[in-house]
Amino acid sequence: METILSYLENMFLHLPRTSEVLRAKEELATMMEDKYNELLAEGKRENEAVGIVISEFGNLEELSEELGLGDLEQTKETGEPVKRVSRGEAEEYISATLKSIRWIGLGVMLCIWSPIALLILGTLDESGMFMFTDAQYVCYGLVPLFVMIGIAVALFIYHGMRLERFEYLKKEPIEIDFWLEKQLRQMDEEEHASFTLKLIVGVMLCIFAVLQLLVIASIDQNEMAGGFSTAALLLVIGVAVCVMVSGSGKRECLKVLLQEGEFTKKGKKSSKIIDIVAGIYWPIVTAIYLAWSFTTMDWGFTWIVWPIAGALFGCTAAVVQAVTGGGES
Amino acid sequence: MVGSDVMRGYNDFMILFLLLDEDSYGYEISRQIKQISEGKYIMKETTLYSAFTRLEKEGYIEAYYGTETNGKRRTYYRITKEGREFYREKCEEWELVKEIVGKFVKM
Repeated sequence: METILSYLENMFLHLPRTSEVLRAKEELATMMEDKYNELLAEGKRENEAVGIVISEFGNLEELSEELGLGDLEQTKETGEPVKRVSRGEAEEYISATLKSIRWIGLGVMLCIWSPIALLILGTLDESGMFMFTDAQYVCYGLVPLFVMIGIAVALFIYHGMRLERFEYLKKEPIEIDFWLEKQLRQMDEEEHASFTLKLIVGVMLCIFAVLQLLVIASIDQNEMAGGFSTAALLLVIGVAVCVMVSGSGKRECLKVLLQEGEFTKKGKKSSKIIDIVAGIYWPIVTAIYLAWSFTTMDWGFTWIVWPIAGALFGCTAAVVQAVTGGGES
Repeated sequence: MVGSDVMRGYNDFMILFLLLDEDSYGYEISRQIKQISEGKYIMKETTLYSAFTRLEKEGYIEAYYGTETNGKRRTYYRITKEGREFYREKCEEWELVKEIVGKFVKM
């Protein structure tokens, strides 16, 4: 009987403790207990009886209306038009994102890896061990760079388009029903450990990448060691970012659906502003990068534009969020 | 076994039928439904409870606490006058449904 009661307890775990809910729980417990006792009296074994009682319990969602959980409070609060998200849509969104996020992570990794070939060529060239012609530079350095960036951009565009139909979830106020919310919160709890693990792995890799650069730079002043070490830094950071991006997919979805973090109603307003800023910012950065690179032909160094631009953009976004009051719940 | 979807419209009807002659309580009603339907229909606990609250809200049944011989408190249900009327209407409705759907049955 304890198994049955704890099953029931679990089903009611996250429900508000209103009198309707408590009454339903009590009544359901009585009915289940009666059935359990009768099954035992019929000669069923305990396990069997528990199994039957639980399998015939039904579905709590059936009681939404009776328990006063039919509507969400949010609609009443604001009166704004709110899009209701069904369970099917939510599940589709999560599975589509999980599929795409791996490829997007891979794309980011390719972007970070793209200057590695050039960097190595430049290092070898400067060391005096090899001399490369311009044609060789283009062939073994620039071609891999543009091929990698090309593949990455293709991945971003393709998967961005695949996920485009879910954009409204991030940008417009949405609501989900009580049961879906409960299920999502449970998923969030389950996801937490694996997300944290991936984050730790990613951060450790980043720290390791920087550390090896520092160590090598301090013990060996040789230009060549420094160049290879920088290449290794990009290699490892690429993997780390890929792990973190793809690892964050599910959590990000849950945050979107539960409207937490930057996806609260206020946060959605500031993300619109950030979108506009990004639309101007990144083309300018790209123009600067290409102009600088082609005028100096110093491709082994100009990639530094990207990390700096990324960091600056992060600052801008944070400022916009702070000013518009988004990001807080 | 009949799926709960098909039976949805008739859960209230069956419960009212079982309350016509005497007051009853949750498990007893579900047991009788299983018995009368010869095990072909088992009403889930949540379905049953949902029906009770609905019927109560409509004023077709009333709930009261009764005490068992072992001293346990238990909710009993009693059919009201409106409940009996509603039951009669549902009987007529069923005859009609049977007649209409029956015209489309070919085995």
